[in-house]
Amino acid sequence: MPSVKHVAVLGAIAIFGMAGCTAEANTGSPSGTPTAAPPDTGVSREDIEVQLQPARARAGQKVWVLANCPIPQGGPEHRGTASSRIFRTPVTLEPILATPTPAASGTATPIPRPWVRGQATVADGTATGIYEVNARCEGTNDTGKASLRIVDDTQPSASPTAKPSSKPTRTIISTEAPHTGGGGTAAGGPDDGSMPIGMPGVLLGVALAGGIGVVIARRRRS
Amino acid sequence: MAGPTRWSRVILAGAITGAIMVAFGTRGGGGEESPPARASVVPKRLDIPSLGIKAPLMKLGVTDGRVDLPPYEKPDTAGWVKDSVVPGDEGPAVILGHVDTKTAPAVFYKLKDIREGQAIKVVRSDGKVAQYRVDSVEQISKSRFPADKVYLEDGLRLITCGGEFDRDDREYRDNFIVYATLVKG
Repeated sequence: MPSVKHVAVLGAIAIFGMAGCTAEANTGSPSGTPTAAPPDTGVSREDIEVQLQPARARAGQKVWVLANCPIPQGGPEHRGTASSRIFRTPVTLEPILATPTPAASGTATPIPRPWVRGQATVADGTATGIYEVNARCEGTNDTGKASLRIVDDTQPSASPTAKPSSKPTRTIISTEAPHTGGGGTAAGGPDDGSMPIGMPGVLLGVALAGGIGVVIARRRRS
Repeated sequence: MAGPTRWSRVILAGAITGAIMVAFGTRGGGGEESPPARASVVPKRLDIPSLGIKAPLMKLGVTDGRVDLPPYEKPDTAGWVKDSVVPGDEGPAVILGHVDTKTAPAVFYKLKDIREGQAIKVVRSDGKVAQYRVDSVEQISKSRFPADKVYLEDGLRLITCGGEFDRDDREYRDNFIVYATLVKG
Protein backbone atom coordinates (compact mmCIF):
# COMPACT_ATOMS: atom_id res chain seq x y z
CA MET A 1 0.00 0.00 0.00
CA PRO A 2 2.74 2.52 0.72
CA SER A 3 3.91 2.15 -2.89
CA VAL A 4 0.40 2.91 -4.14
CA LYS A 5 0.39 6.03 -2.02
CA HIS A 6 3.78 6.92 -3.42
CA VAL A 7 2.56 6.64 -6.98
CA ALA A 8 -0.55 8.65 -6.17
CA VAL A 9 1.51 11.43 -4.66
CA LEU A 10 3.88 11.46 -7.61
CA GLY A 11 0.93 11.55 -9.98
CA ALA A 12 -0.57 14.44 -8.08
CA ILE A 13 2.72 16.32 -8.26
CA ALA A 14 2.93 15.72 -11.98
CA ILE A 15 -0.58 17.06 -12.45
CA PHE A 16 0.22 20.05 -10.26
CA GLY A 17 3.17 20.79 -12.48
CA MET A 18 1.08 20.53 -15.61
CA ALA A 19 -1.60 22.74 -14.13
CA GLY A 20 1.08 25.29 -13.42
CA CYS A 21 2.21 25.19 -17.01
CA THR A 22 -1.33 25.63 -18.25
CA ALA A 23 -1.79 28.65 -16.03
CA GLU A 24 1.44 30.07 -17.38
CA ALA A 25 0.36 29.56 -20.94
CA ASN A 26 -2.68 31.67 -20.25
CA THR A 27 -0.73 34.67 -19.05
CA GLY A 28 -0.75 36.29 -22.47
CA SER A 29 -2.98 39.29 -21.99
CA PRO A 30 -6.06 38.87 -24.15
CA SER A 31 -7.24 42.35 -23.21
CA GLY A 32 -4.05 43.94 -24.42
CA THR A 33 -5.05 46.63 -26.85
CA PRO A 34 -2.63 46.87 -29.69
CA THR A 35 -0.53 49.96 -29.42
CA ALA A 36 -0.39 52.45 -32.21
CA ALA A 37 1.57 51.27 -35.18
CA PRO A 38 5.11 52.60 -35.07
CA PRO A 39 6.10 55.18 -37.62
CA ASP A 40 6.95 53.82 -40.99
CA THR A 41 10.37 52.32 -40.71
CA GLY A 42 11.08 51.88 -44.31
CA VAL A 43 12.12 49.75 -47.07
CA SER A 44 14.49 46.89 -46.64
CA ARG A 45 13.45 43.97 -44.49
CA GLU A 46 16.79 44.22 -42.76
CA ASP A 47 16.02 47.67 -41.43
CA ILE A 48 15.60 47.96 -37.71
CA GLU A 49 12.63 49.75 -36.24
CA VAL A 50 13.15 53.42 -35.46
CA GLN A 51 10.66 55.56 -33.59
CA LEU A 52 10.43 59.26 -33.00
CA GLN A 53 8.71 60.83 -30.03
CA PRO A 54 7.06 63.04 -31.01
CA ALA A 55 6.86 62.22 -34.70
CA ARG A 56 6.05 65.87 -35.47
CA ALA A 57 7.95 68.78 -34.03
CA ARG A 58 8.85 72.40 -34.52
CA ALA A 59 12.22 73.88 -35.25
CA GLY A 60 14.24 74.13 -32.03
CA GLN A 61 12.29 71.37 -30.30
CA LYS A 62 13.75 68.22 -28.82
CA VAL A 63 12.84 64.83 -30.18
CA TRP A 64 13.53 61.39 -28.76
CA VAL A 65 14.92 58.90 -31.23
CA LEU A 66 14.45 55.26 -30.32
CA ALA A 67 16.06 52.47 -32.29
CA ASN A 68 15.48 48.77 -31.80
CA CYS A 69 19.13 47.80 -32.00
CA PRO A 70 19.90 44.13 -31.40
CA ILE A 71 22.18 43.48 -28.46
CA PRO A 72 25.59 42.70 -29.96
CA GLN A 73 27.32 39.45 -29.06
CA GLY A 74 30.49 39.77 -27.06
CA GLY A 75 32.55 42.91 -27.13
CA PRO A 76 30.86 45.96 -28.62
CA GLU A 77 28.57 48.06 -26.51
CA HIS A 78 24.87 48.19 -27.12
CA ARG A 79 24.41 51.66 -28.48
CA GLY A 80 23.80 53.56 -31.65
CA THR A 81 23.79 56.92 -33.32
CA ALA A 82 21.04 58.91 -34.94
CA SER A 83 21.55 61.60 -37.50
CA SER A 84 19.54 63.84 -39.72
CA ARG A 85 20.35 66.94 -41.67
CA ILE A 86 17.93 68.85 -39.47
CA PHE A 87 19.57 67.78 -36.20
CA ARG A 88 22.05 70.18 -34.72
CA THR A 89 24.42 67.32 -34.08
CA PRO A 90 24.21 63.55 -34.41
CA VAL A 91 23.14 61.98 -31.15
CA THR A 92 24.31 58.89 -29.34
CA LEU A 93 21.63 56.37 -28.54
CA GLU A 94 22.04 54.65 -25.21
CA PRO A 95 20.34 51.52 -23.92
CA ILE A 96 17.16 51.91 -21.95
CA LEU A 97 17.72 50.33 -18.59
CA ALA A 98 14.80 48.68 -16.98
CA THR A 99 15.16 48.12 -13.28
CA PRO A 100 12.75 45.87 -11.44
CA THR A 101 10.16 47.34 -9.13
CA PRO A 102 11.67 49.09 -6.11
CA ALA A 103 9.97 46.66 -3.77
CA ALA A 104 11.72 43.76 -5.43
CA SER A 105 15.15 45.03 -4.61
CA GLY A 106 17.92 42.65 -3.76
CA THR A 107 17.90 40.75 -7.00
CA ALA A 108 17.87 44.03 -8.83
CA THR A 109 20.36 44.47 -11.59
CA PRO A 110 19.27 46.63 -14.49
CA ILE A 111 18.39 44.64 -17.56
CA PRO A 112 19.06 46.28 -20.92
CA ARG A 113 16.16 46.26 -23.32
CA PRO A 114 16.92 46.01 -27.01
CA TRP A 115 15.90 49.63 -27.50
CA VAL A 116 18.45 52.41 -27.47
CA ARG A 117 17.48 56.03 -27.41
CA GLY A 118 18.77 59.57 -27.41
CA GLN A 119 17.43 63.07 -27.56
CA ALA A 120 18.11 65.28 -30.56
CA THR A 121 17.36 68.94 -31.09
CA VAL A 122 15.87 70.11 -34.35
CA ALA A 123 17.97 72.97 -35.73
CA ASP A 124 16.47 76.42 -35.48
CA GLY A 125 15.08 77.73 -38.71
CA THR A 126 14.27 74.33 -40.12
CA ALA A 127 11.58 74.72 -42.77
CA THR A 128 8.36 72.76 -42.51
CA GLY A 129 8.39 69.44 -44.27
CA ILE A 130 9.16 65.78 -43.78
CA TYR A 131 12.75 64.81 -43.09
CA GLU A 132 14.51 61.51 -42.79
CA VAL A 133 16.14 60.48 -39.51
CA ASN A 134 18.71 57.70 -39.78
CA ALA A 135 19.81 55.46 -36.96
CA ARG A 136 22.75 53.10 -36.94
CA CYS A 137 23.57 50.48 -34.35
CA GLU A 138 27.14 50.21 -33.24
CA GLY A 139 28.55 46.73 -33.19
CA THR A 140 25.95 45.16 -35.43
CA ASN A 141 25.81 47.95 -38.02
CA ASP A 142 22.08 47.61 -38.40
CA THR A 143 20.42 50.68 -39.78
CA GLY A 144 16.93 52.05 -39.90
CA LYS A 145 15.11 55.26 -40.50
CA ALA A 146 11.99 57.17 -39.67
CA SER A 147 10.33 60.33 -40.86
CA LEU A 148 10.11 63.48 -38.79
CA ARG A 149 7.52 66.02 -39.76
CA ILE A 150 8.47 69.58 -39.01
CA VAL A 151 5.49 71.84 -38.51
CA ASP A 152 5.25 75.61 -38.62
CA ASP A 153 6.73 77.05 -35.45
CA THR A 154 4.68 80.21 -35.73
CA GLN A 155 1.39 78.41 -35.44
CA PRO A 156 -0.41 79.00 -32.16
CA SER A 157 -0.15 76.44 -29.41
CA ALA A 158 -2.86 73.89 -28.86
CA SER A 159 -4.79 76.11 -26.45
CA PRO A 160 -4.83 79.67 -27.70
CA THR A 161 -7.01 80.82 -24.80
CA ALA A 162 -4.36 79.96 -22.25
CA LYS A 163 -2.86 82.94 -20.54
CA PRO A 164 0.91 82.85 -21.00
CA SER A 165 1.41 83.98 -17.41
CA SER A 166 -0.39 80.96 -16.04
CA LYS A 167 1.69 78.53 -18.09
CA PRO A 168 3.99 76.48 -15.95
CA THR A 169 7.40 75.61 -17.26
CA ARG A 170 7.16 72.23 -18.83
CA THR A 171 9.79 69.61 -18.51
CA ILE A 172 9.87 65.90 -18.97
CA ILE A 173 9.86 65.05 -15.30
CA SER A 174 10.95 61.50 -15.93
CA THR A 175 11.54 59.40 -19.00
CA GLU A 176 11.24 56.22 -17.01
CA ALA A 177 8.12 54.12 -17.24
CA PRO A 178 6.52 53.84 -13.79
CA HIS A 179 6.47 50.35 -12.31
CA THR A 180 2.95 50.54 -11.02
CA GLY A 181 2.22 46.95 -10.25
CA GLY A 182 3.40 44.05 -8.15
CA GLY A 183 1.94 41.30 -10.26
CA GLY A 184 -0.37 39.96 -7.58
CA THR A 185 -3.28 39.72 -9.99
CA ALA A 186 -1.30 38.53 -12.97
CA ALA A 187 -1.81 34.94 -13.98
CA GLY A 188 1.08 33.02 -12.51
CA GLY A 189 1.77 35.66 -9.91
CA PRO A 190 4.97 37.46 -9.07
CA ASP A 191 6.72 34.55 -7.42
CA ASP A 192 5.87 31.97 -9.95
CA GLY A 193 9.03 30.00 -9.39
CA SER A 194 8.03 29.06 -5.87
CA MET A 195 4.28 29.03 -6.34
CA PRO A 196 3.55 27.58 -9.75
CA ILE A 197 0.12 26.24 -8.94
CA GLY A 198 -2.53 28.93 -8.74
CA MET A 199 -6.18 28.45 -7.84
CA PRO A 200 -7.23 26.27 -10.80
CA GLY A 201 -4.25 24.04 -10.12
CA VAL A 202 -5.15 23.71 -6.46
CA LEU A 203 -8.74 22.81 -7.27
CA LEU A 204 -7.66 20.29 -9.87
CA GLY A 205 -5.16 18.80 -7.46
CA VAL A 206 -7.73 18.47 -4.70
CA ALA A 207 -10.22 16.85 -7.04
CA LEU A 208 -7.59 14.45 -8.31
CA ALA A 209 -6.41 13.54 -4.83
CA GLY A 210 -10.04 12.87 -3.91
CA GLY A 211 -10.45 10.62 -6.91
CA ILE A 212 -7.31 8.68 -6.12
CA GLY A 213 -8.48 8.31 -2.55
CA VAL A 214 -11.77 6.83 -3.71
CA VAL A 215 -9.99 4.39 -5.98
CA ILE A 216 -7.64 3.31 -3.20
CA ALA A 217 -10.51 2.93 -0.77
CA ARG A 218 -12.44 0.74 -3.23
CA ARG A 219 -9.41 -1.43 -3.87
CA ARG A 220 -8.91 -1.90 -0.18
CA ARG A 221 -12.50 -2.96 0.29
CA SER A 222 -12.43 -5.51 -2.53
CA MET B 1 14.31 49.84 43.71
CA ALA B 2 15.29 49.45 40.05
CA GLY B 3 11.93 47.90 39.11
CA PRO B 4 9.73 51.01 38.77
CA THR B 5 12.33 53.03 36.87
CA ARG B 6 12.94 50.22 34.45
CA TRP B 7 9.23 49.91 33.77
CA SER B 8 8.82 53.61 33.28
CA ARG B 9 11.70 53.54 30.82
CA VAL B 10 10.06 50.76 28.88
CA ILE B 11 6.78 52.67 28.80
CA LEU B 12 8.53 55.85 27.73
CA ALA B 13 10.35 54.01 24.95
CA GLY B 14 7.08 52.52 23.79
CA ALA B 15 5.40 55.90 23.79
CA ILE B 16 8.20 57.44 21.75
CA THR B 17 8.12 54.59 19.25
CA GLY B 18 4.36 54.98 18.95
CA ALA B 19 4.66 58.72 18.39
CA ILE B 20 7.26 58.20 15.66
CA MET B 21 5.12 55.59 13.95
CA VAL B 22 2.11 57.88 14.02
CA ALA B 23 4.19 60.74 12.66
CA PHE B 24 5.53 58.66 9.79
CA GLY B 25 2.21 56.98 9.13
CA THR B 26 0.31 60.20 8.59
CA ARG B 27 2.97 62.00 6.63
CA GLY B 28 2.85 59.90 3.46
CA GLY B 29 -0.91 59.74 3.10
CA GLY B 30 -2.20 63.18 3.77
CA GLY B 31 -0.51 65.36 1.21
CA GLU B 32 -1.36 68.68 2.79
CA GLU B 33 0.21 68.06 6.20
CA SER B 34 3.76 68.43 5.02
CA PRO B 35 4.42 72.00 3.97
CA PRO B 36 4.41 72.14 0.17
CA ALA B 37 7.51 73.60 -1.35
CA ARG B 38 6.12 75.11 -4.53
CA ALA B 39 2.41 75.71 -4.41
CA SER B 40 0.01 75.73 -1.53
CA VAL B 41 -2.75 73.91 -3.36
CA VAL B 42 -2.59 70.13 -3.68
CA PRO B 43 -4.97 67.55 -5.11
CA LYS B 44 -6.55 65.53 -2.34
CA ARG B 45 -8.80 62.95 -3.88
CA LEU B 46 -9.39 61.27 -7.22
CA ASP B 47 -12.91 60.33 -8.18
CA ILE B 48 -13.86 58.22 -11.22
CA PRO B 49 -17.61 57.64 -10.82
CA SER B 50 -17.96 55.24 -13.75
CA LEU B 51 -15.46 52.82 -12.18
CA GLY B 52 -16.36 53.45 -8.56
CA ILE B 53 -12.83 54.64 -7.84
CA LYS B 54 -12.44 57.09 -4.96
CA ALA B 55 -8.83 57.34 -4.01
CA PRO B 56 -6.92 59.56 -1.64
CA LEU B 57 -3.91 61.18 -3.28
CA MET B 58 -0.40 61.48 -1.95
CA LYS B 59 2.43 63.53 -3.34
CA LEU B 60 5.14 61.81 -5.35
CA GLY B 61 8.63 63.18 -5.75
CA VAL B 62 11.33 62.12 -8.15
CA THR B 63 14.35 60.05 -7.12
CA ASP B 64 17.22 59.46 -9.53
CA GLY B 65 15.12 60.44 -12.51
CA ARG B 66 12.38 58.04 -11.58
CA VAL B 67 9.04 59.10 -10.17
CA ASP B 68 8.39 57.67 -6.71
CA LEU B 69 5.50 55.28 -6.28
CA PRO B 70 2.80 55.00 -3.67
CA PRO B 71 3.81 52.31 -1.16
CA TYR B 72 2.29 48.85 -1.55
CA GLU B 73 1.16 49.22 2.06
CA LYS B 74 -1.37 51.78 0.85
CA PRO B 75 -2.83 49.97 -2.14
CA ASP B 76 -5.87 52.25 -2.34
CA THR B 77 -3.85 55.46 -2.52
CA ALA B 78 -2.89 56.99 -5.85
CA GLY B 79 -0.10 59.51 -6.21
CA TRP B 80 0.14 62.91 -7.83
CA VAL B 81 3.53 63.73 -9.35
CA LYS B 82 4.21 66.93 -7.48
CA ASP B 83 6.35 68.42 -10.23
CA SER B 84 3.39 68.25 -12.59
CA VAL B 85 0.64 70.88 -12.36
CA VAL B 86 -2.14 70.69 -9.83
CA PRO B 87 -5.12 69.11 -11.59
CA GLY B 88 -7.50 71.88 -12.61
CA ASP B 89 -4.65 74.19 -13.59
CA GLU B 90 -3.49 74.61 -17.14
CA GLY B 91 -0.82 72.11 -18.17
CA PRO B 92 0.10 68.48 -17.70
CA ALA B 93 -1.03 66.84 -14.45
CA VAL B 94 0.10 63.29 -13.77
CA ILE B 95 -1.33 60.74 -11.34
CA LEU B 96 0.12 57.25 -10.85
CA GLY B 97 -1.45 54.26 -9.19
CA HIS B 98 -0.68 50.59 -8.83
CA VAL B 99 -2.74 48.08 -10.75
CA ASP B 100 -1.97 45.54 -8.06
CA THR B 101 0.37 44.81 -5.21
CA LYS B 102 2.33 41.58 -4.98
CA THR B 103 -0.75 39.85 -3.72
CA ALA B 104 -3.94 41.77 -4.46
CA PRO B 105 -5.65 44.31 -6.71
CA ALA B 106 -4.80 47.95 -6.04
CA VAL B 107 -6.32 51.36 -6.73
CA PHE B 108 -6.08 51.28 -10.53
CA TYR B 109 -7.02 47.63 -10.96
CA LYS B 110 -10.17 48.61 -12.87
CA LEU B 111 -8.65 51.55 -14.74
CA LYS B 112 -8.38 49.61 -17.98
CA ASP B 113 -12.18 49.49 -18.12
CA ILE B 114 -12.37 53.27 -18.53
CA ARG B 115 -13.86 54.55 -21.78
CA GLU B 116 -13.59 57.68 -23.84
CA GLY B 117 -15.90 60.44 -22.67
CA GLN B 118 -16.09 59.28 -19.08
CA ALA B 119 -15.52 61.77 -16.28
CA ILE B 120 -12.58 62.05 -13.91
CA LYS B 121 -12.76 64.44 -10.98
CA VAL B 122 -10.00 65.63 -8.71
CA VAL B 123 -10.84 67.32 -5.41
CA ARG B 124 -8.28 69.93 -4.42
CA SER B 125 -7.22 71.30 -1.08
CA ASP B 126 -8.67 74.71 -2.04
CA GLY B 127 -12.11 73.15 -2.37
CA LYS B 128 -12.20 73.29 -6.17
CA VAL B 129 -13.12 70.19 -8.10
CA ALA B 130 -11.24 69.77 -11.36
CA GLN B 131 -13.29 67.93 -13.94
CA TYR B 132 -11.74 66.07 -16.82
CA ARG B 133 -13.12 64.03 -19.69
CA VAL B 134 -11.30 60.98 -21.03
CA ASP B 135 -9.91 61.56 -24.54
CA SER B 136 -8.07 58.37 -25.14
CA VAL B 137 -6.38 55.43 -23.52
CA GLU B 138 -3.17 53.76 -24.50
CA GLN B 139 -1.39 50.58 -23.59
CA ILE B 140 2.24 50.88 -24.49
CA SER B 141 5.44 48.97 -23.83
CA LYS B 142 7.47 50.42 -20.96
CA SER B 143 10.44 50.60 -23.30
CA ARG B 144 8.48 53.12 -25.36
CA PHE B 145 7.06 55.14 -22.51
CA PRO B 146 5.77 58.35 -24.15
CA ALA B 147 7.37 60.76 -21.68
CA ASP B 148 6.81 63.80 -23.87
CA LYS B 149 3.12 63.11 -24.36
CA VAL B 150 2.67 62.45 -20.66
CA TYR B 151 4.66 65.32 -19.21
CA LEU B 152 4.50 68.04 -21.86
CA GLU B 153 0.98 68.13 -23.25
CA ASP B 154 -2.02 69.67 -21.53
CA GLY B 155 -4.36 67.49 -19.55
CA LEU B 156 -4.60 64.87 -16.86
CA ARG B 157 -2.83 61.54 -17.24
CA LEU B 158 -3.57 58.49 -15.13
CA ILE B 159 -0.86 55.88 -15.35
CA THR B 160 -0.73 52.30 -14.20
CA CYS B 161 0.71 49.01 -15.37
CA GLY B 162 -0.74 46.55 -17.82
CA GLY B 163 -0.04 43.79 -20.25
CA GLU B 164 1.88 40.70 -19.43
CA PHE B 165 3.72 40.33 -16.13
CA ASP B 166 7.37 39.62 -16.74
CA ARG B 167 8.36 37.25 -13.98
CA ASP B 168 12.07 37.70 -14.58
CA ASP B 169 11.91 41.50 -14.36
CA ARG B 170 9.12 41.29 -11.77
CA GLU B 171 7.22 43.99 -13.52
CA TYR B 172 4.48 44.40 -16.07
CA ARG B 173 5.72 44.88 -19.61
CA ASP B 174 3.35 47.73 -20.45
CA ASN B 175 1.99 50.93 -19.07
CA PHE B 176 -1.69 51.74 -19.34
CA ILE B 177 -2.22 55.47 -19.73
CA VAL B 178 -5.44 57.47 -19.68
CA TYR B 179 -5.39 60.91 -21.32
CA ALA B 180 -8.07 63.37 -20.23
CA THR B 181 -8.89 66.97 -21.05
CA LEU B 182 -9.84 69.63 -18.54
CA VAL B 183 -13.52 70.44 -18.79
CA LYS B 184 -13.91 72.63 -15.74
CA GLY B 185 -11.11 73.90 -13.54
